[in-house]
Formats: sequence, C-alpha cells, structure tokens
Amino acid sequence: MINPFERRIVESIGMETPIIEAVKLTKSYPHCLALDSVTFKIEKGEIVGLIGKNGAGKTTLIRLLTGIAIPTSGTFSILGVSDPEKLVALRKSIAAMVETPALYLNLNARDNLLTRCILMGIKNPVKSGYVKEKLDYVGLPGAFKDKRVVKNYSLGMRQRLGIAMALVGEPKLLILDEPTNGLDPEGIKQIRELLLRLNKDKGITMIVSSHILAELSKFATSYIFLDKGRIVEQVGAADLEKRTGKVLILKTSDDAKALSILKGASFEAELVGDTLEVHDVKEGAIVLNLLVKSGLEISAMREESNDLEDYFVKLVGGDKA
Amino acid sequence: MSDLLKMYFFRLFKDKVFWICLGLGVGIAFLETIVYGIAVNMTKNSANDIGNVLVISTQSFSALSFTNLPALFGPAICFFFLTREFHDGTIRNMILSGKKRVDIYLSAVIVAFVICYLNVLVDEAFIWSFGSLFGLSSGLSDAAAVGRFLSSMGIFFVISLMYVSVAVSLCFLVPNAFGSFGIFIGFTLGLALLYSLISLVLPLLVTNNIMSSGAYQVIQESMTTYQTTYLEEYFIAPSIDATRFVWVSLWASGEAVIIGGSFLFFGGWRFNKSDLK
Repeated sequence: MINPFERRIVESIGMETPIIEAVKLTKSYPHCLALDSVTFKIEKGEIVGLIGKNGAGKTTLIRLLTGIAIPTSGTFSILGVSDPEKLVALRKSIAAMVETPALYLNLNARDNLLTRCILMGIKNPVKSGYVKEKLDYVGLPGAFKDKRVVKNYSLGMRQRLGIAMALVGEPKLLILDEPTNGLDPEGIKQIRELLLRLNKDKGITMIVSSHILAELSKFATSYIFLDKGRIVEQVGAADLEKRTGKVLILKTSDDAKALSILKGASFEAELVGDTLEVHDVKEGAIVLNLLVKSGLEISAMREESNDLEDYFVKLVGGDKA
Repeated sequence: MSDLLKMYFFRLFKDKVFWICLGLGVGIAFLETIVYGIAVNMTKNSANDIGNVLVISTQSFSALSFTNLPALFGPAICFFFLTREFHDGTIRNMILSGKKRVDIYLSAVIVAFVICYLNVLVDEAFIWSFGSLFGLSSGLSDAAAVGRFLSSMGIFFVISLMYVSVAVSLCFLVPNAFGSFGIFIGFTLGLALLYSLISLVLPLLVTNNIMSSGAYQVIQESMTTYQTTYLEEYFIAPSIDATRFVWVSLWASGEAVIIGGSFLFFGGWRFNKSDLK
C-alpha cells in the first residue's frame, strides 16, 4: 500500500520532473570545503558518470543525496520534493551503495537481503521468492542456500550482493560509488552488464562514480566532472563524443601549407614539433584526400584517440581521476 | 518504527553475541542459586558462619549479578550490536529505507532495553524455578511477597532503562564498541562512587541495588528469623518497608529521568544533526 504522498511521487516519475535537481549545494567541514555551491540537474533514465580526482567531492555529493550527510547550505530536490521531512520518506525510492556495500558481515546473503526486505516492509519475501529473484538477478543464484556468512565472500560477490540489497523495493534511482572498486576485469564487465540491464529492464536512473573512466564511458549517458568541490562541466555522452574525437598525426612534405589548407577547410589543426595534429577527426580519409589533392605528399600518418581520461585531464589538469 | 524493531530483533536472534550473553546470564543465575542455597543452609544456626559466608556471598553476588547484569550484559550486547551498524555502514540501509533518524534511535533504545530486561528476567526466573533444588524457598509465599517482588522489579525496570539510555546514547555518540564500552564502564564506576558518597548523607538509599532485585525476595524468604535479624543488624540489607520503598522509588525514578533522560536526549539530538560515516 502506498500513501497519497508516495502515489504523487510515483505519478510524477512519468512527467518532466527531474529525478534530482541541486541548487548551490554546499558541504563544508572544519578543515575543508568538500562541496562548493554545486548546481546540477539529472533527468529520468540517465546513467550519470560522476568523475573527479580523489577529494574532488564525489562521495560527499553522494552522501548528501542519500541523507547520510547533511548539507551546510543549498538545497536539492528528488522527484521535485525538497522538503527535508518529506525527503526522508522518499528515500525509499533511492538505493545507494556508498564506498563499500553496507552488509552485515556475520549474516549470510539471504539474511542480509531479509534485513533489507523487513526495512522496506516487504511481506513474506522468502516464500514469495522475492529474495531468490533478487539474488538470481545479480548473478548470485547459489547464494540463496549458501550458509556461508558474507565475511567469507569475495569482493565481487559482496558488490553483487550490495546491488541486490539496493534493488529491494524497486528503486527509481540507484547511486553507486565506485561499484567496480577492487574487481578483476571479468568482475568489472559483469557489473557493467548488470547496470546496463537494470537501466534497460527497469528504467532505473543511475549515478555512478568511478575511477575507471574507460569503463564508465562504456555505459554512461551523461557526465558530471567535479574538481575541488565544484562542477567543472556537466555534459551529455553525445556531446562529449564530439569533443573527444580521434586525433590524426601527420608528417607531410610541407606541414605549413598543409596546416593552412586544413584550417581553410575548418579542421582543428596545429603544428606540434615537426608533426601536424588534426583534432576531432571523424574520417581520416577525408583529411588525406584533401591534402593529396592539394599536391602534398604524406610521409607518415597515425591515429590517436582522445578518450574520456584525456578529456578529463585537459579539463581539470594534472593526473587522471 | 515497527519495521525497524523487527529488523533489529531479526539481527539480534541471528547474532552469536546475544546468545553468549544470554548464556552467561543463565550461567551466573545458576551459580548464584547454588551459592545462595549453600550459604543459607550452612548458616542457619551459626552466627559466625553467617558473618563469613552469607554476607560475603550475598554481597558479592548482589554486586556481580543483580546490579551489574543489566549494567554489563545488556549494554555489552548493545555496544557490539549497535556500534557494528556504524562500523559496517549498515546504518545507511536504515536511512535509505526512508526511516527517520529519531525512529532509528528510539528503536535501538527499545531493543536494547528488551535485551537488558530479558537478561534480568532470565536470572530471576532461574532462581525462582530452581531455587528449591538448592535449599532455597520454592517461591513467593504470600501476596505481600509477590507485591514486594513486583515493586522491586518495577524499580529495576526504571534503573535498567537508565543504564540502557546511557549505553545506547554512547553507541550513537561514540560509534566504536571498545571506546563507548570503556566510557560506559567509567560511567558505571563513577555512579557507584556517587552512590557511596550519597549514602554517607542519606543512608536510607544505600540498599538501592540489593532491593532492586526480585530474587532477593526469594533469598529473604528462605532465611530463618535468626538469619534475617543478623543481616538487618550487621549488614546493610534491611527488609523493604513502606517508607524505604517510597524513598528508593523516588531515588530510582529521579536518577533515571535525570541521568538517563539527559543522555538519551543528547545522544538523539547529536545523531539527528550529525553526518554518518
């Protein structure tokens, strides 16, 4: 049974209300400003990649949104609700895994899920097969009858169980902080596929922070770049793709002439040392054709891709996330 | 709040620490029943033995079990049970289940109190049920004795509530099992010292701890008049008369409200305002 307030929330999901809208959200601690007047909006169905170096404010932002920490100033709304009292009840629609999965290490997987079911008010979760269904969905089919306590689980199994716990109550928003931390390549791939499946099957909006930007770029539909507690950019995956196109590195018989021709044809080109770099190239053949037709000889050519990591480094400077 | 209570109890019954502490409670109840039985029967006719055996055993077990059971076992479970919520980060699950922080806090108090009082009841039930096997009274002989028992258990209820309030608030204020338990032990010792100092001024309240136990009634019923007179004359454990009961009730309620209430309020207020790890 859902109350009128919850019904209103559920009804609003199909409408244009952003899932999350933050205005000048700030969190300061005695020794530092962890989040500095952050403003952003996240629409329904998005998978938002939260990117930033250590200490950029990613976890702080997640902690504020989940109610684990209290903002110093600023406001945020979830599904259009910003009143702190009403937000408490609304948190039922949000699931999160902050840093590490919050599991009772002395209980087995089934009992861990049961604690979450009890909290979410789900009746007869074992008899109805609800617990088993969640474990199966995250790829832990044997865990239902497994007597081992979670303390003895591998990191990958704990991450999966953490996600299964998060899925109890059918959340509308899933917030994951470093969900692939410490996993091997196979585990990372499995978690990625699971998240994509969740987004596709259940339409769950996601905020995912990760250090592995190459991995994030495989499923995020938009990005929020954070640096020193501030949002330096919020961009959609399609727009970002335009900015992170391939770079063509050439050596021609006359680089200066080639530069002039390319600039004349609206290419973003520059001379770097004794080579010519052409940025955001969709089709290398078009560039080559243009130069050859102009009577230039190409003595060397290679392509480099300017990926998300490179973009991030350019954006915030210094090391990668 | 009912979901929270269900969840806490579910976890509790799955936790080894709970069963170990309950087992220890039963073990001590068993031990004290034997010792009391031996002490009461050995000293029926000898004044010297009363002094040497009964007083020592009564006093040591009063301190060990009656007073400190709720003060140690109940809170010990709380410290390992509740601080683990912070250590493992599972407190976040409660927040993300749409539960109010005040409900999370009050549920913890209720569950901790139930554990605490359950331990006391186990202790009491044991001495009542099996006392006769070891030469003690087989139970409460008349309505007055039952009344005294219920009254004293009522006082114990209030005192237990105070200890639990302090313990739970410490768990939320210092979310580290050993740290908060250490502070709690310091608090308990400090309170014992305070009792001793107050008893110098108000000797009427000195038997507070012993009288709070219902089991003491069973012991008292088992004694001969000779023994009772001896104890009343030489040992600070006189029978409960109406005046003393009123004083003790007032004292217990007062300290519970002032000390327990202050801790409870401060712990809740701090938890409501603070960030979680």
